[in-house]
Amino acid sequence: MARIGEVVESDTNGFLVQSYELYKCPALGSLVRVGTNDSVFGIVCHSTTVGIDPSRLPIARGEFLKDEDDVYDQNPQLSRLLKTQFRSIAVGYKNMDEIKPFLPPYPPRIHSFAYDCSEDDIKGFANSHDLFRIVLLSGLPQSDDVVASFVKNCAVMMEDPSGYKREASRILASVISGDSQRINSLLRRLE
Amino acid sequence: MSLDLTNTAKQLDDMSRVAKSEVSDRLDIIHEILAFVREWDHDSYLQGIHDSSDNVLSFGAEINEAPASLYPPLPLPTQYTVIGVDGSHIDVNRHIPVSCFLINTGAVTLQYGSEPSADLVSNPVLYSGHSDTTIIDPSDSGKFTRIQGALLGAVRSVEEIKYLESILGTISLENPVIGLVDGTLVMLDLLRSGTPEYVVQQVLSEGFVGALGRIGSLSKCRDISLASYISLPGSSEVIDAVLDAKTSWFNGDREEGKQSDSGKYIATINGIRDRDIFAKLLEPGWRSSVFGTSYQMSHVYYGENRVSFFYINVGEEIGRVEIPQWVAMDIDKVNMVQTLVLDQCARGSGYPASLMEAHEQAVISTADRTFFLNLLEESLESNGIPFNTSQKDRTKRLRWL
Repeated sequence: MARIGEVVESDTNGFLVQSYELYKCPALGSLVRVGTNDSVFGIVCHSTTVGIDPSRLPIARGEFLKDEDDVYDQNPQLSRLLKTQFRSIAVGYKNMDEIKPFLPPYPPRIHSFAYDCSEDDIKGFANSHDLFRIVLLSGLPQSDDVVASFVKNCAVMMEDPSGYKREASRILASVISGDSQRINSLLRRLE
Repeated sequence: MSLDLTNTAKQLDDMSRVAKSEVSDRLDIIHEILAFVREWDHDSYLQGIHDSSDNVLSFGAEINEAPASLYPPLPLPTQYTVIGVDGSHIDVNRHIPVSCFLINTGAVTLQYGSEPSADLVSNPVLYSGHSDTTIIDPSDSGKFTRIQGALLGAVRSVEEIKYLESILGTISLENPVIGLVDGTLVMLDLLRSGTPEYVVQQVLSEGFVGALGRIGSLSKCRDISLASYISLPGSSEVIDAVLDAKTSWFNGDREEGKQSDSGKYIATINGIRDRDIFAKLLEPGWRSSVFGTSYQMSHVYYGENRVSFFYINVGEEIGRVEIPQWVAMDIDKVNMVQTLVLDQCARGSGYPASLMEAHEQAVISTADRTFFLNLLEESLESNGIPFNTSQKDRTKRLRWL
């Protein structure tokens, strides 16, 4: 699969990847893999594009330009001074060619390469009760959107997308049972 | 005890009151000079030079045409490349056991047009050992000068211009290319510090001017220009020349004029700069005529690369652009420098975007300097060299109570 970036921050619960190309990062809820041998899988939960130097803030430059691309054409240095990063929640790892849907024993190394995931890898996590639990109980404000995006991404790869969504909804409801408002809100995101 | 701000504030207040009282005097003199400049009779000026006993100007810039001659910007070329270079250094630290310094050169190549691109480079070079950290007299190997302080600043300028030369040497574009450096092209520090002649020869003649000349050679077969940009310039060379003319050739007695308090004396006292005059003369985007710099050094050491300059209104301020003679003699290049510098300033909110980015590549922050020292300490100790420092340096680093 395509190599998309490198790990620049890493801990037990997740990792931060810097994309090789500005603005090129996997969509929210995408499954990604980092590391060549001891691969760790993560769900993209947050992405950001910021200045490489945190003390230099971007300023408005396009007031008198025709379109947004002109801003970059007229200021070619911008593409070298900005970076796109995405953060992922660790949801599994590969051990002896077997995918384990739990937190990895060790976080990925800094500069581990990050890849898009294959359809087989994604299907391997599609019904993971543990993946849903890790993300929904992560405490992230956007966790429901992350899980909903993941389910919808998986659904398009399934032979029976509606059936898959029903099954996923059942699992999700069991993870956050007792919070009917949140369940309803989450299910609305899957429609 | 740190700075006593209460005491300082009072002194600042007194200073500001004095400055306020001088504002109206300054404006009167600026208008007086402006009126003279606008009515400038260049033929009389040239005749005055011709008639003078020494046949040369005594003060200020070389005025080649009426100083109120002004030039609008030309249309921007559809494609152009700008290379901005800047540098920073870590000076020799006498409190540590090794003599070394570091020069970090930052360079930015920005290409505009149908295929915009950017290349940003930071090139740190560590200099250590006797031959790298001294300049040796070729006629007497026992005589040498340590590279540090102001001399290191000059050596850094040489490295910057050489780096620019190396990048320009690889450029094979047909489109206009301009190399920009920050600050002046006239290395006055070398002479001010009473530097030995062999140092001036190696650093200035062979180093800086040599690189200027080689870039000039490159410009013969490619559309290359070179300029330096000075933001908020503090020089008064044009005013000096104008007032010299006013008080001598046009007002009668030259010596009497110089000593009177009606012209140069007042201008100096009130700190009027060339930029004050050109701020009134230049519309945004326009430039002044090209003047020759008055520094004797430029004439003696720079030869074909002697420095000329013009002022430009970049919108936010009056900037000074210095150019070597081979640019100044080619009106197309002068106009191209004006147009591209103006465009660079527009892209950089009043200061050339390429120089701003080159500075960002070159700058060595306080944190980097501390890290450099820590790395040096680690490296020396891992090689069995004890990192002894002076007691003074130790107290500065620990700052105990």
